[in-house]
Amino acid sequence: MSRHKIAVLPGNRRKSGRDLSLDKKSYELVFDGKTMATEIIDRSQLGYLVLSIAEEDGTSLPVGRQAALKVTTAFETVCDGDWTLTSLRATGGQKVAKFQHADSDHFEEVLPVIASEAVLLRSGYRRLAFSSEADREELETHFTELKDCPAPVVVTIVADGVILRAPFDFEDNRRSLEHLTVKIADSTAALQVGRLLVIEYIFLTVRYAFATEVKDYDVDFGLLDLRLPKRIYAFTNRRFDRVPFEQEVHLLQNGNVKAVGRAQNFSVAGLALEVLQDHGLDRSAEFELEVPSLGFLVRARCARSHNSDLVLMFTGGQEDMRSLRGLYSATITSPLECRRSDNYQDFVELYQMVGYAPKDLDQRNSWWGTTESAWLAQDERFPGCTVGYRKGRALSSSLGSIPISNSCVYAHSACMVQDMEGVIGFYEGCVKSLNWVNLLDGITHYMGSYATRGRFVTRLQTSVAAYARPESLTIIYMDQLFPASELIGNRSPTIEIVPANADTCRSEVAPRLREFFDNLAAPSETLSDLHHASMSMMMRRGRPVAVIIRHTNPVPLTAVNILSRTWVFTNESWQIGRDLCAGLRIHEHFARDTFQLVVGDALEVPPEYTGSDLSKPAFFTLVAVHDFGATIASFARACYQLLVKYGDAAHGELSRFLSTP
Amino acid sequence: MDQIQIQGSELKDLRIAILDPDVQRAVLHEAALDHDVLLRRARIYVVSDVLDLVQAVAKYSIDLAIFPDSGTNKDVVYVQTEIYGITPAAKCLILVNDLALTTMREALSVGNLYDLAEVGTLQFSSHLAALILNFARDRSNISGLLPIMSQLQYALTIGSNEVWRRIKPVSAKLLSHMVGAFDISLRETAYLEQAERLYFPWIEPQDYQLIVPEGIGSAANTLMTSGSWINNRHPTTTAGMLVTLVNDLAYRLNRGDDEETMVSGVLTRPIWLRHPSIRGFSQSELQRILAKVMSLADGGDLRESA
Repeated sequence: MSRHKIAVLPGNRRKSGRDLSLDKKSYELVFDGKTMATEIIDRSQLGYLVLSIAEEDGTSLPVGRQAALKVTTAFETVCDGDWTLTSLRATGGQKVAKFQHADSDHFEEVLPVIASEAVLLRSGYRRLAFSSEADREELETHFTELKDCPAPVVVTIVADGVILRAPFDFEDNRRSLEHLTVKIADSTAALQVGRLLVIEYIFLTVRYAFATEVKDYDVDFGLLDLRLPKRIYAFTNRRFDRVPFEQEVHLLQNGNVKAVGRAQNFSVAGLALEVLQDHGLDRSAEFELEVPSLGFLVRARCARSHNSDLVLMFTGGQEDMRSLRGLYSATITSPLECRRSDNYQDFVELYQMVGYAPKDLDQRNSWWGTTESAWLAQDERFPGCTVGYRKGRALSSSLGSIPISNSCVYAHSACMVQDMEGVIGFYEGCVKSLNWVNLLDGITHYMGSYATRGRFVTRLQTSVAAYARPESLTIIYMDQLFPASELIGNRSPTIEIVPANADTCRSEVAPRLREFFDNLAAPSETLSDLHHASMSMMMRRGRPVAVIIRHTNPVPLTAVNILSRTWVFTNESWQIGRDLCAGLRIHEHFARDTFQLVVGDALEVPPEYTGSDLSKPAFFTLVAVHDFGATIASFARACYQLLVKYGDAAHGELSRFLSTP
Repeated sequence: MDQIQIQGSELKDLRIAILDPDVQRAVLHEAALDHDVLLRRARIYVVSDVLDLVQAVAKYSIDLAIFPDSGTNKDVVYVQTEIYGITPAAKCLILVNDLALTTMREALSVGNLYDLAEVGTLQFSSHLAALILNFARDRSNISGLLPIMSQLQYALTIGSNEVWRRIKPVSAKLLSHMVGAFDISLRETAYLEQAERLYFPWIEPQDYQLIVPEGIGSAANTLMTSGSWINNRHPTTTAGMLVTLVNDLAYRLNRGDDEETMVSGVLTRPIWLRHPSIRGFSQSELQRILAKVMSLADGGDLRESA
């Protein structure tokens, strides 16, 4: 087994020595309360970060002090946490600052299995120590879960010159675990008592790693006892996860094929390949990477080369990212499948079954008449944006993603048939879908909407509170008000609707919701022909009482088409807010609109409604892209709990939660 | 020393089905009970339809079905009888809203009624959790099972030899000192206790099916997985190993082996003890248990009494 396969992030990135993936982007450093522009020189050494800053900025930095550090781009947080500035030296009109992570000494122990990127973000990992009362309880629960998991949890054991795969063994059935045991099939492995090992395994998409030593090796039963570690690391950072991809690729310079190789994997940052034929490739110059079988062509340059092994970095812009999404969708294989024009009917049948599409034939035909063109437009611009899971002839689950603004992707058409295949399909679709969002340039947030008491949703929301909770998760409660068959309401002479710009409206929205508001206020430029937003203010006696964002689209973009709703933000009570919505209906524009009513800070579930409209309480979630790992873990946990209900029948399916999806 | 306690042994094999006709509330109950710290190891199915309840009982070997006497379109005793028809082992807890005396009499006569509670219990997940925990406690009650076993054991030992009538009390005491170290529930311990009483090394596994009384399948299962130094058979479960080990040790004690011989004999892992759970015992652990059993105030030195 090659080392890079067991790394939290690929070893070839870890060893690259220089970070090249985010060149040409501008970074901002905040350290010890001071803000300055910066460039990343090196982040490939675990627990260390080397930055370049302007000479005049450097003079104000305190060498030797540990303080809160944050490195951001316009789109995302690259690094945060507590770091110590260990050195600051001048070079060529710049200052090079070297920072050391507060936990860097501890990281050393698990060095063989984790990459530097895994610990850059505080939310990307957790350190659980047995010496802490709270952590110990969590670890007790964790190992009980591992013991009760119907499928064996396989660990990777790494020591100098040894890489073994072996399952945890709980067959001795002891109540108190004084050690951890794995079952070794290879009895020839040199695992003498006291030998230092690093253990790594995956459970519900979270990678765990710890350093330990051999306590005993029972040759009789092939059981290796490991001392309980002092610390266990749980990693959820998946931002740079690589997708296995084995295809022939061509490297072109000046339109000529200069090298032919075989790709191994790719990520949002680049692609790794082995060169099979070199016809004079200039490795220092930019070239074009072509996948002839898929018609994929992007610009790239060589980030690192060693004999026939090349690591490429994508250098192109938006257009190339689109190609990359196409490449990613090509890696989605059966039973998962991307939505394409030839399987639209299967998606329609699934949505009809779960109640997303009209059941009545005439209504459905009418709905489909307008929806088809929207699907075609989306799938052409965002190949792979919606995935489904096929069970036999029919699809059993689906999940789609669509940019709701330039910085936010909205998850839609999420559904599953309530059976085992539906659960596993939904889980795999979630993982693919979130990984796909990684390939959208400039996206910082992922948004989803849920009915408050869905079976899966309730489980998801309670489980994220338990363990795999994305730190950046924001929940926004709202009431959905659907128009009644007959309009009831009186035009209030005191209410006036006036057009307003985004800045004015934003200032009226509760501070907690402003990020959410921004994503609703400016639809994605890529979908500017399909999705529009207009803003207005509702005034009463000259005073603003509500902010209105009216989304419209000529054709339904999603199964339920939340992107055609009218948002009403008010700081009044639920009762007044609902009355305001009822008043809005009198205006011709809003008469048949569905309102998304958000009250105050949106921290409360709406109370029961007895008015004329049909009320359906719901909530939106907003999570930062860098928290995708924890988001996927929360999906995995919710799906796992549903799946274990199926007992022995789900045994085979459960193993999918114990490896990288 | 850092230790990780495998918690909730009592609940690890517990399977509960709850019927709540309110679909939305059922969803909340299931999620809440699955995340309940105490019930984490139990498998809880919450359904909203009687048909789903019956299917769950049939499919998942449910230990306790909780359902209300109202809100469904089926008579409560009918449901109870249907569950009994699927498996008599599944108990029923009826949540009473308006249960007539005659209906209650019928419910009692079916034979699988565990208890009655108020229908208001369905309002709160925590109340349901309390009911489940009570059931888990009651489930471990072994009264009513042991007398049958004692009689059976007496019959078996009479038919064999007097020696085993002296060995058995010792093996039972040894067992009581050993089970605490393992992730075994009280219910399993009860079955283990039953199995231990019936264990004799000369009986073949398949013969236990004929000996153990009907309806006490778990004791038979444990015996089926035991080892034997006479038939050179190795155990296949922790419970099977424990039954074999305590009888082996008691047999050696009765034979007059000294402590050192016994302990080293066990640690060589003979075929009849060859199961990974034997690894739970070190020399010092075995010596500690033997010392405890041999110094019991009532028995004095067990070898002398034997």
